[in-house]
Amino acid sequence: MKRVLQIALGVLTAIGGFVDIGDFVTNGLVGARFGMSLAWVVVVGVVGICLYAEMSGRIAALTKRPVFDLVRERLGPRAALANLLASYFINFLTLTAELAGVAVAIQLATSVNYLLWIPVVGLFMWLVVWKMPFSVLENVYGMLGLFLLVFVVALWKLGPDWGHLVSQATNPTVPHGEGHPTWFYYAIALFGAAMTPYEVFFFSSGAVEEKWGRQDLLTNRMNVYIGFPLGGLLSLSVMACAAVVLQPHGVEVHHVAQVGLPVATAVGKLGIAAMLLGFFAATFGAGLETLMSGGYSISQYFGWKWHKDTPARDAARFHTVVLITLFGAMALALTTIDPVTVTEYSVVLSAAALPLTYFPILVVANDRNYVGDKTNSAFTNTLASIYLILIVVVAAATIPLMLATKAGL
Amino acid sequence: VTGSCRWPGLVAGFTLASLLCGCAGSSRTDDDYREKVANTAEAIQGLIGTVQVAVSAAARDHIPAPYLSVTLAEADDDASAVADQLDSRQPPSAAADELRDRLDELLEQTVSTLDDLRIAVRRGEIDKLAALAKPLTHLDAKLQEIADLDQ
Repeated sequence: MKRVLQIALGVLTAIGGFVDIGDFVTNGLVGARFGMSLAWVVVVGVVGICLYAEMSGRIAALTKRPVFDLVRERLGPRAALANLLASYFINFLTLTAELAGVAVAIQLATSVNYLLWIPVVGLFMWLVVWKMPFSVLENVYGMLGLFLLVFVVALWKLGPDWGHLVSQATNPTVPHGEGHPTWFYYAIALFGAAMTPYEVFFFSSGAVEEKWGRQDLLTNRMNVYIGFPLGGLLSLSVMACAAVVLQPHGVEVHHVAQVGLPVATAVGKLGIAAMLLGFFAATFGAGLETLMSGGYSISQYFGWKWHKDTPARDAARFHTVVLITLFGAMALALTTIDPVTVTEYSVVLSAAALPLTYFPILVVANDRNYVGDKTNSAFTNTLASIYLILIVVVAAATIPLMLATKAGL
Repeated sequence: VTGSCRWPGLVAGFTLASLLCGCAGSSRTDDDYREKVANTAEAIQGLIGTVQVAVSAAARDHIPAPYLSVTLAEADDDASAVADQLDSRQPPSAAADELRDRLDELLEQTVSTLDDLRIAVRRGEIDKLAALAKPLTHLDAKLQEIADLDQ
């Protein structure tokens, strides 16, 4: 059991990264619209995030310093400020969407309008950040998020034509009636979701919170190589369920409720209960990740005390940033802004900001002054360099594709 | 141009591009209008598909009532929004008028059926859903004819 709980940080980070409200709906939308033809993007994304999350965890374990701290040191205050503003803005949008996402999960269980739940969810989120120890937080929300595995069960119970699904995934083609730009737009959305910067900020800060050291490098690898592929598996299973049940009906997915319909079809009420619990935990966990990542990155940039478990009076500025961020996100969510659209934009925009996050990680992971003899292997550097080129291409293509496709219409 | 002067330009450019993305274009030709009508028909078909999957799950007691209620309410609201969006476009010719009237009638019937389903769920009349949803199959087929006009 201890071993299982040791990977909670990776599981929580990955579930938050891969199946928060925006990704959840995007995966459903992609499955219903493009079948499994974009499954390869999830695989590419999982390899990429594993590569860089392993580096960020290793750096955090060896230096006792999180990624953002090192970004500032390596890029200088000006470039790091640009990174801070971009990542904070994306975090803020994502947090807004997650708050609404948790409220939507409660709405689906109660049919009481989600707007009424937002203040309650915000208060609960603040209490968790204020009172709950980091280790309890990651264990509870990481493990509850595993209820989303109900999508794997649903897929199995649906008894799909596996050969057809695999064929769609391994011979990706743009479906009839869809344009290449739209297809690539959603490819970028999935890639951006898999590699969203807050994952490495949160993961590395979590490693410091957990007081990882040189002896925890194996734990780091276990977290990365089990947690993130698990997130990818959930992502693919949501996509496949939508491809099997919703695509034949020509469903255009815009709401969380639609994504759960295959589970209702295959598993029934118990399945929906598991899905809602898992979705609640995943979005709440992602909300905590983005909320704390906002506090972490600002505090780390300015050199303030930032540990979550430090008494509030000693880390007052960190907790103030968290509180202000939370109030702001609650206010934005209460304007009735569509949470799914918000998070889709934030994911796509985060793709544009990826190089600023991942380039410094690659540099530091090769610097003996930081990581001693634990620098990257030649293989890791080759793969990481290929990914860095890919990230730059994706970043350059994001905004033009967003405009050309009217954000995937 | 100094760095500080560039920012307002960039922000204004991005805002303008975002606004342009959000604008509904006007239809200047019959072909353009036909494409928009076909897209509307497809969007409504997607909502009918959602409702059919949900009602089918409800018929087997596979879906909790609050979840079903939210699903149907969202489909109903979306269908009304799609119908309103079509109304905001001006048909460019008499032929386009006719097409619009055809689709309008189908949209009206669809929204009315979705209203009935939504009310039935609210009243807890889950056993009536399958019967109430029956017209959707016919409406779906009729909408397909309109969607095919753009092929």
